[in-house]
Amino acid sequence: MLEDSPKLAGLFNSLDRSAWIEIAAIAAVAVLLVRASQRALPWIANRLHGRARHYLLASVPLLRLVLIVIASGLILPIVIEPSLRNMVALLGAAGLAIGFALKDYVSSLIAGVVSAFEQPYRPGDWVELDGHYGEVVHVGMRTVSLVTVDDDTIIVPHLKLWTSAVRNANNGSPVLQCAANFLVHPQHDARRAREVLEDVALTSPFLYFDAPVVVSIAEETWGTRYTVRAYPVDPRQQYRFVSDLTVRGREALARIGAEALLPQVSVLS
Amino acid sequence: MTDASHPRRAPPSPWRIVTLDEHVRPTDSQPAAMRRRWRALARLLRSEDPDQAHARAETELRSLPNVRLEHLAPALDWSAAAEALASFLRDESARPPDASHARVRVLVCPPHCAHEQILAHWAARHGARILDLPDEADVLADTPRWLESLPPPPTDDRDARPWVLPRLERCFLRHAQGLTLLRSFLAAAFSGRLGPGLIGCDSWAFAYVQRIWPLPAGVALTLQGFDGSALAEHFIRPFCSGVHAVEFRSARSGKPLLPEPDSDGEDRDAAIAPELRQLAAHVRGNPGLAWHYWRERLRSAPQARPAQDGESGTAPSAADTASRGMTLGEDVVWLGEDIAPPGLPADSGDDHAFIFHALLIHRSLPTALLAHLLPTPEPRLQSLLLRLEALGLVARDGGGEAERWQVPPLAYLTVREFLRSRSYLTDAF
Repeated sequence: MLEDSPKLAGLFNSLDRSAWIEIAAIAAVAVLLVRASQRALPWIANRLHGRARHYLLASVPLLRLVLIVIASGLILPIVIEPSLRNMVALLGAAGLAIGFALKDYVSSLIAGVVSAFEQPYRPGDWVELDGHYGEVVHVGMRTVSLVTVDDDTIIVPHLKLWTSAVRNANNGSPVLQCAANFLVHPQHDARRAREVLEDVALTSPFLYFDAPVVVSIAEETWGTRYTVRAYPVDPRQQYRFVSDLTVRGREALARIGAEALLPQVSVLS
Repeated sequence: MTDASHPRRAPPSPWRIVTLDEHVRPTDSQPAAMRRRWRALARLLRSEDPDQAHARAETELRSLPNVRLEHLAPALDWSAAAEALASFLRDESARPPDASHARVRVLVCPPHCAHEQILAHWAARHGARILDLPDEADVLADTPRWLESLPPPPTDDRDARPWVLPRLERCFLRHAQGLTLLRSFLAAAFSGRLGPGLIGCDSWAFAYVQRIWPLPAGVALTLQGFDGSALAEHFIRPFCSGVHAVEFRSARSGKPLLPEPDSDGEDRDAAIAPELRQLAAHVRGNPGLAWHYWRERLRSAPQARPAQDGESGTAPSAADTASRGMTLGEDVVWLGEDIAPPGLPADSGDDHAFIFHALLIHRSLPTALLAHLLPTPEPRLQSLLLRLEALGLVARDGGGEAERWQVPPLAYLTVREFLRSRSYLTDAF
């Protein structure tokens, strides 16, 4: 082992003062650009709406990855002679250290790189991760940050990507579907009920008109379940939209004599 | 439309009725937004305003007195649009019948284009019946009483007097109970049960109605957009001849706004002042809106003093005039700089968007009805309306119990862009 040390040390170029300055300058510029893009792009995006906001937010992690790859590509040839033999030796040594000491940390970093390409979630998406549902506000190198409807920030390591399912409600699109449920006594005019619920959605001020409105009906043991599926103009309106559909839907159903029901907990369970 | 007896080919009437597919929105080769950015950049780089000379001249100018404004920019005569509508329908009836023939037509006009006035002129000229509009109780009623009150269908097509419904936007409300009457009426009208007729509809209401009860293809007509040339013919040409001829000039460039009388055809279009092309593009070809902007931008110079030097010939620019201490006579009227649009509140959000959207789709609404349609509580709604009124983004129409809120003409484009940028349903104009 000791006799291998000079060989390992030989991988690296001897770094003089100018080389250190060059490395520091590249690293500083990269950090500066990453920080600037992470602050400026979300700042601009949050002043926009719809597609522009969504796509600008989604570009933040990708841009950061590009900057890091470029900076690494510039620094690496300064530090080592980029031959195949050198790279194999270096990666082997690094792999050994990572395998023992920083397995989960590095696994999260690698999952972060994968997430930048596969994009299972992007800033602006509404996702359920590890049992938490919220808007993705930041996709970092190691973690993803969600803000829930309760205004809690949840930080989930990218590592979860390897083992957990990701439920993405809008998947890169600026609109997402919402569903409002109505539980009604079975004795009513179902055709009329479906019509009035469709009108409830069509008259909601939140409605995004370029996506369909669908009313589905299901008979349950305790009554009839209506589900109104529609899209609000902005995913951030989803809770207000469902509340609006619920309030006005209940009024509309009551007007046509469809009696609201609360399902028996024992039956539902 | 040429007049053979006239010594020079008369320009075509700017009023034309076309189908929705044929509507053309005028464009400007140098969009206003790009121009504004360029000026800001120039100011930043050179530390000076490229329009400084113009800005100095602008301060010398003053708004026109009301009497003179009424004379130089009188209210638009919508009977000319009604005549264009009659001409379109006449031409259509002269063609052999085909699938595109419809017994019921919808005239769709963007805001501030007074489709109800156009249809009223048309109805008066053609002896058509104008249908009474339903009130809010009729619209929200479960049984279509208003429909039953309509005149019975004609028994003989030859004796059938056409009917006119001037404002379709008053026949529905964006409420779960407010669409039944609209659907029933449109079904009756387009099935032919009511006989031949014309329906007037605001473009925002039309966009909404198309999602509720899509109309058959080809039944919708509209006013062709006014380009710079049409604006020149309508706003300037009538005042350029006679004893009291007035010359309209740009306060920015000092140049006349109307092309030279001997220019013709394409030359005439090319000679249209950029200010008029920009105005036409800015208002998206909407003549009603253009008229409001035109009135706001007209300026006059202080009373003329006798010229102090012997120079004559081409009229001096406003900048030259101002710099030499001269004043211009009242036979020259200046078109001032673009009007700064009213600004949106910094905290503009969903509630603001809902108010704007509801007002545009229904054209105007009273506070109580607005509260009935929107999820915003009425006290908050009243507060928002007052704040928006102070900013010039909404305005009251009528007074007392008849008071309704609407989006005023000079705020319309700001509001439209606000709603468009947030993916709300917008009109096609």
